[in-house]
Amino acid sequence: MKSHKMKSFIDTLRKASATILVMAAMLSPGAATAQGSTLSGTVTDETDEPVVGAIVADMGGKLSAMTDIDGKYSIKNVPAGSEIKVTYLGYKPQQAKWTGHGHLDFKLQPDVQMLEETVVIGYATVKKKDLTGAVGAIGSDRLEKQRSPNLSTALQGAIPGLDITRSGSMPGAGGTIKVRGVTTMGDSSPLILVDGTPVNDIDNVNPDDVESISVLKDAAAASIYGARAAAGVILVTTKGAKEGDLKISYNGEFSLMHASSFPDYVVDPVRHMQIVNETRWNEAGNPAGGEYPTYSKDYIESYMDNHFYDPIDYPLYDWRDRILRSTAPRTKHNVSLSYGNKQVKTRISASYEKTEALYEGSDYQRIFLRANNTIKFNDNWTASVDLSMRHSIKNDPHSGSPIRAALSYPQIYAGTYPDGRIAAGQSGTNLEGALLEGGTKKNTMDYLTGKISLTYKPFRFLTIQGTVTPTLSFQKVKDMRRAVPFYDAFDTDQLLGYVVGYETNYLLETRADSRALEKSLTATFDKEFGIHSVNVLAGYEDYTYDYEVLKPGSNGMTLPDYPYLDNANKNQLEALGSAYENAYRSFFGRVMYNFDRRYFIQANIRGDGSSRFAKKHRWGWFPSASIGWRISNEKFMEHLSPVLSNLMLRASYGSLGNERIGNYPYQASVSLNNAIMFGPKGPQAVTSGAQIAYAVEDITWESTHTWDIGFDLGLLNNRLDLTADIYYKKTKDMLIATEIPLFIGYNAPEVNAGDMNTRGWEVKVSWNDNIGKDWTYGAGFNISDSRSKMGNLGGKVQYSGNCIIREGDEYMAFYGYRADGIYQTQEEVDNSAKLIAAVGPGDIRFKDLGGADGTPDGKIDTTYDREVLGSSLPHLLFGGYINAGYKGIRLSAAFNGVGRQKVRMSEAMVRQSSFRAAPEIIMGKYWSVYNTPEQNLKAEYPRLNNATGEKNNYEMSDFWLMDGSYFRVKNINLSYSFPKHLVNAIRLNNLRVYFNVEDPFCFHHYPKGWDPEVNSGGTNYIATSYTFGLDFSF
Amino acid sequence: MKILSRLLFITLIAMMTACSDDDAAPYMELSHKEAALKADGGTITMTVTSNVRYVVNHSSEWITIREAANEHNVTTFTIDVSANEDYDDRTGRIKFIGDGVTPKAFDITQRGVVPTGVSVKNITVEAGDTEAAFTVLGEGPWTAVASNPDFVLTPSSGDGRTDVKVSFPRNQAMEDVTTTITVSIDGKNYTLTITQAALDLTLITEWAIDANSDEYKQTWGAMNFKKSKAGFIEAYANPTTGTGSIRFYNSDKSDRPDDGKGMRTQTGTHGDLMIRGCVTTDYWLLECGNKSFDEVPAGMPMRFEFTGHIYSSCAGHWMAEYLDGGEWLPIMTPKTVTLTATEGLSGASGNWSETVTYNYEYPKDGIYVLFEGTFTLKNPCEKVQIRLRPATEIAVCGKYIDQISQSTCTRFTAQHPHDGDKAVKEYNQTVKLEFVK
Repeated sequence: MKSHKMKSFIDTLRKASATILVMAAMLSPGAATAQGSTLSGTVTDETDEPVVGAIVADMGGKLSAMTDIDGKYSIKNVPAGSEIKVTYLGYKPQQAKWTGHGHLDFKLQPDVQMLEETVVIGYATVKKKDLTGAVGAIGSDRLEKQRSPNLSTALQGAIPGLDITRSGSMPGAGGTIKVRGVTTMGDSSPLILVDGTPVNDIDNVNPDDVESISVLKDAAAASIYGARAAAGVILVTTKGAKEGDLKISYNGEFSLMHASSFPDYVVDPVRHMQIVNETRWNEAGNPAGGEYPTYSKDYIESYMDNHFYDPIDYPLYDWRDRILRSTAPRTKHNVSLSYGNKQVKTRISASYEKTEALYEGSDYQRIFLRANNTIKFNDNWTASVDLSMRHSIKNDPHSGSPIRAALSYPQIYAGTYPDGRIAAGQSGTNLEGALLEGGTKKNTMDYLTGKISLTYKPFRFLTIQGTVTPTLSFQKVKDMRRAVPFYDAFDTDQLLGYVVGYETNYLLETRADSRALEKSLTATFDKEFGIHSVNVLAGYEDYTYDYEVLKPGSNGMTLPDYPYLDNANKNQLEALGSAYENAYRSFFGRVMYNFDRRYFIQANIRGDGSSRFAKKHRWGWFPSASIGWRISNEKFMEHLSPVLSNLMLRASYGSLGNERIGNYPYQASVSLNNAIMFGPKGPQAVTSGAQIAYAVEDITWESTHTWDIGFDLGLLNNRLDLTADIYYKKTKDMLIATEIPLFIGYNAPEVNAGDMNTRGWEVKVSWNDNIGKDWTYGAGFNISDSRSKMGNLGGKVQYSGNCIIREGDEYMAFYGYRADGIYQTQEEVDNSAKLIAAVGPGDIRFKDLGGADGTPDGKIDTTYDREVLGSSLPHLLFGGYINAGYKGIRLSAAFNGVGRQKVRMSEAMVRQSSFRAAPEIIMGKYWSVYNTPEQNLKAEYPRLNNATGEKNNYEMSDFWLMDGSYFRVKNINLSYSFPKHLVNAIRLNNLRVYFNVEDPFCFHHYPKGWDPEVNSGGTNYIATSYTFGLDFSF
Repeated sequence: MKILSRLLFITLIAMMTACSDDDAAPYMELSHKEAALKADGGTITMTVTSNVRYVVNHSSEWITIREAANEHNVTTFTIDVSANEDYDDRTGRIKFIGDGVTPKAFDITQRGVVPTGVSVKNITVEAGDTEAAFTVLGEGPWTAVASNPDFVLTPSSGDGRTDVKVSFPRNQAMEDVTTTITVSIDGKNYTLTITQAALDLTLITEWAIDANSDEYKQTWGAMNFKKSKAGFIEAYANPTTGTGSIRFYNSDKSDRPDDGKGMRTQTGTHGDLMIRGCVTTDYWLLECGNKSFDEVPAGMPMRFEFTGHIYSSCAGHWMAEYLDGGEWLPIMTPKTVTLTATEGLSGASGNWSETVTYNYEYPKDGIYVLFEGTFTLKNPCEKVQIRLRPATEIAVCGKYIDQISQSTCTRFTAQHPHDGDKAVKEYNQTVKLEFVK
């Protein structure tokens, strides 16, 4: 790997080792008394670029200097004949004898051994090669190359086993993250730690601040985090300053986004009215002469002419054009300042970003501030104070996303009059009116985190660190819905009504705040005894968290433009409030040992006590162990060393816990509500309280046991890198609601009863090389799969939407009827089993799979005729990248996708409704009475009929399952770094410009206009964004 | 939904405006927003001032728009409105719909054909009605007068089409009342006749008496009264037709000896109301009225009918009388008879003789006899008062009433007539007073 690429990986090491070297040199003032001449020279790297911050010292370490921005150094009073040594982390040290006059220049060569990637694994950093657990990592170089607006987006496809699903490209939208698939029926999101502090959303971190990201996938890697680690752990490490830094960096970006695709709907008046007529006619049983039940033939035929004469009564209203913009901008500025000397290292970064949506009233602004400071008092004592703040404002229209409406509202309804006033829309349903005048929702979030730690090193091999991390968060939501009246087109004073849902002014305020405090104390023993390397960690940690929310509101506010409760309607006040708190206390330890870097063993244990469980069941102990054998270091493999750079076999086992099962599951909590009681004036609401949940005292941890076997292979001087793992996860004691008799009066209590088994594998391969000095290239590919089967569920079956959770089946397997095509004739209908009596030709026919006695019973029913239709979860998730560079030009592309997935074609994709236009994709492809029998035999969709649609056609069946696999080019980035000499000439340290395209292409089997990551309702979008960016530092 | 197959007029005006107007805010103003025309139609001129492209449309076949002139931003429209041949008024709307401006409407109201005269020639109302209405049609001032001064016109004059209310009293006569109303419009007279029907009334008052109903038995049977206490006792208060009451009048008999058993009411086996100890100064009083008239008219023959059993151990001769001008007159022609007795009811012997004037006789105790008579009032009265009183103090058993006795009783009930000696056991007869046509 190239040195500049590796620098980011080794910063942590540099802090630890290079600094010590420098200090050793600098803490020797007596050296100045020796007699000699002034030595000066230049230190460059293998590409002749100056090396900044290299330490130049004599062998005794008494005389030393650090290279400046031009790679130059100068040391006074150097005796002739001195052996001068240059060290720079990541490069092989160089040594030369000074004759006493002239310059002494050094050209450093990369130290492959030193450049080995290091990975943060939880309370420690290890060489990636020495990992014995399954850990995926990416560094800041990858993030900087890809330049995705969010970390969650940047991580898509980057690490095998990490499945990230976006919630769209709307401003502020993030993603849901799963590590190695599903772990539990509850919350399967991983624990995310930023510099050791838990955060609930990875997008709360400024991507520019990120030094590296590690994903701890198996129990051996993650169990150091015990109870919170069952669904995996993501460790985000932020950048700090390096010694010798004195740098101001700027990154600016401007993006334009457009939706990658939108589905088309039949919104034009004539075809829409024909479709409505056909639907109504079908619903009425196609009576003779009833072909025009809603719109007369004459009305339809003359509509367009009439529109030309009278656009008020005969609108041709382009909702899509009115509501949606073609592009939305995004801007971002990031400034960071870093300064480092022997004592103090400071890095301060500030970032501002604003993203707008493709429609009015929605944007997202956020400001990040982070200051990472380290103060080294002496060899024994170091303190660090890291402060970070995030302030975000998300503005949305009260109406929420208007996208579905914009795309599918028929053009025969007008949202506004020519003068811009709000019109009635569809009998008062008017999302444009709601969007423009229906009020706004402003969500302001503030996070403040401070991490203060003190490190004491009584000996070189022992580090004791105490850390206190308080986190505060504040949320303020001001959700003001305004009444939206609409008036007569011609008489501006004649009130016709209000937009549906916007009849009154309503304000709902939310004020939430939380406080978290984490305290930890760790001691690390790290020493090498010859060929024995030992690292022992012991630690203690506790954490408290409390949260409170207040939600006052008022309906019928008089003033729509004064969104303060001062203006509340005293007769329509409401107030809600709630709070919770939780805490844990943990002890943990780890032993890492390796013999001659050939045999590795690591054991972890963590004990967690959680407030969520009763005293007797509070503590859980989660051990893990892993072993590794680096075969490539064995003598008998030496003959392969020209080819085989690294081969490590790994195996691990461990158990992890999941405590995210509610805050008070074991306690008899009393729920307050307003019961209707009979009072002196008749029924009245009385504030009352009742225990509605049955308290189960012995409720305790869900636990996940993981077995993992894998290997890491490096070939041809590590240019080819291959990592593969197979694993098995067994989650036990998942909380499942048990059935109790209804007369007991409690909700079904949850007990630890469910099991789930997940099997999976991951492979990652990459090739990186250079051709000559100027050309570099690389490619990487990763793929993973997992399958989660339900174990014992106590005989309970859960239905969730179109899916089933049942013992022996895959988790969330599609469950429904087996379709048997579309009925072509009434005779077919009459002679088949039916789900409902109203079905007719053109509706979907289902197979009669069984009956009460196990054989087909001549009718279709929910009990006997549904079966598992396949997996609903994605399989064969893959991702990768290719890149090539020539001198300062670099072109890279990243891709990701899903190799196999079944997806239900949603109703929004294929169905029309009273007010929604029909999807364009079904046109000419649905069964119709107007078709010939031959055309109907080829029909892909059932007839237009909402009556049978609701109860028959759109019931879950394999008719609607489609291939959900896709391949997405996530990112194409072209950058140019100006040559150092040019940059230096304008007194800059570096200058880079880049052009980035995010989500340019996606190849999939979804209906035209849909994207695999757009939700089933079609209310969001995936944007293709074009970004121009600029980086420079000085 | 209004289905409009085709709008009838369209004009597209791409305004060729001066450059300075391009930057001006879009506007579109009408010179006026509405016009009212008579039935014979006509031509309207209005102007539109605008700097935007607009379309003009309407859907009324009777409106024709001509674009007369277009100068700078001002367009003059000439609107022809054809004659309205219907009586109903009609409205039409011309819409001006421009880009980026509030749509404007020009509303035309056209009167229907206006008839002259009165809306109706004849009006017939019931005797009890007191109001009628008609409409004066036409234009210009008018006056109206009714031939019968009891018929009041509101208003009696006006201008143009006017709804007129006619007020008049109830007709309490047995003959139709008519009036002719003459409306003068523009020197021409139009007439209208109102006929108020005669009072169609036969039955004045009637009591449908179910003598077996518990209502009478209980209320009547519980009453006690004293011979010394003069006054009325309510019997049948509410007639089923008309107004009035049936009461028993107890005269002051304190100066007369009695059998010591006291006077009292009683209910007979068949529910008939009985008074024990009555004398010739006592009587049943029937008041008969009707809401159809304020007072019962004089000169109309009327018939009183009652099938009764008013006798019991008492006078077999009775007088049925009506009150006319303060004088009690016999309903039927009286007859006289001389009765004698040798024993008083007290058992004391004596020779009593009495010439009795009566018009109603019971031949035998326990018999029901149809009692009917016809009379004509000379004086109108609020209610016709009829009384039935014993005509003699000699009892039917040939004893004289020398004391107030339990044996002298009268009973009032309405029954079917006796069929010979055999009682007809039906107790749902009526007591009624009716006009005789």
